[in-house]
Amino acid sequence: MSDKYQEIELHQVRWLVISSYLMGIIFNIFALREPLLIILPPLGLMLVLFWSVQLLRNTHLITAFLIGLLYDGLYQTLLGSHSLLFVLLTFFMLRMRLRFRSYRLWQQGVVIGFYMGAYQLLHQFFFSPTLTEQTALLYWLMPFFSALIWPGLVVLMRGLSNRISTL
Amino acid sequence: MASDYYGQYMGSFRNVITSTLEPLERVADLPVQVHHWYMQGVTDLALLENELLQVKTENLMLKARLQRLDSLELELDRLQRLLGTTGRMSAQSLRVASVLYYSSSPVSQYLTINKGSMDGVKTNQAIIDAYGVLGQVTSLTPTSSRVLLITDPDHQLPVRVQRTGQRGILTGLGHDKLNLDFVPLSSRVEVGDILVTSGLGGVFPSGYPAAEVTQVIHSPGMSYLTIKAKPLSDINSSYEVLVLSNSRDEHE
Repeated sequence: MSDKYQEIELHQVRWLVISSYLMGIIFNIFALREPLLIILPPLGLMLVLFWSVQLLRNTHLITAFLIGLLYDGLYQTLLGSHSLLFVLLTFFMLRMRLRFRSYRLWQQGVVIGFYMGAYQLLHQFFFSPTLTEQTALLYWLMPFFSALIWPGLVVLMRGLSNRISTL
Repeated sequence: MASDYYGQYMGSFRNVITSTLEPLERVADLPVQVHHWYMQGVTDLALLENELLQVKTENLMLKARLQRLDSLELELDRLQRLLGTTGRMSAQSLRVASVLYYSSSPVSQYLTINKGSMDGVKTNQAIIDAYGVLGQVTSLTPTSSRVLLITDPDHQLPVRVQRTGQRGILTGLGHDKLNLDFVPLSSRVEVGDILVTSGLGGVFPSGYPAAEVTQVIHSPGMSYLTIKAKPLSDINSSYEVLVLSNSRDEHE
């Protein structure tokens, strides 16, 4: 699958990157209303991970920090706590992003599932959310769900960025 | 993180973040608005007329109660003067706001209302609805403010039991559940007791109903009773809420 990656520079897709982050946050804001949508992963983080694999010239750590701050504002949590989680996971992704690019899409999904599992464990440790029986199941299913949506996210974002960069 | 945890130093920074998120929240609200708009279009006229009639009747009843309350307030004022205590009743002014948005995630429970710092809303002001206390303002943007609900796991509210005057702290547990903490085993709290704000702590004015006791558990070996309660306010479907502000604040 690695041949699918085209070398794209940040300046070619800057607006796509920014608008994808905004859309990710909007989806997460929408999910706040409905307790059952707790299964939706933090799309901001998934997009930071995607762009850190796609755009190799940047580290994306500052972006991860800023997006994390927005999530702190969104979830009314301690300022910097989501940022710390986001930066940590982005850092781990930076360590293996070249290898990650060579994986098939479903393998990438599995890796992302592990990442999100780690995120959810830390999330539980940091924020100790109050869960009911129903939401607890969905809460812990989030990594599986993120593994499922990762291929779709990659295909969509890669298609868009390839199209925009060739314009 | 430390400065946010140990103090209110990051309050204005949090306001900046909330202001950044506000347009995104409005965009996320669009599908719901469209749904409401569509539903309004198809609502039956007879249903609306019926609702109007109900509201008019309720208004009449409330006006009648208000007349009695006015005279009671005067009487209380007179009695307090006789006793020589300083009356602090009716020092609040009300402002109506509508709910723009809400969060019911397990990490935080809050409302966003459509009045902000430009409308004179300040942090820590109490928010009530027709039935009881909803929460308090935690962060502000120029045109909206965020209200931490009393059911939020981070929220604690000083209350007293209306019937006995027993004081306690009402802690949010998320999912519309509350716990009444620090009530000694010897106190006589019963299921169905109404908990009203005690006014201690200085954030919430005293005397507003907050919750109703649903379960009292005597656990042996514990120094306090385990008391569960449910909020009286319509936390999930309030659309219009009231912002309480002290008249003293407004003169400042």
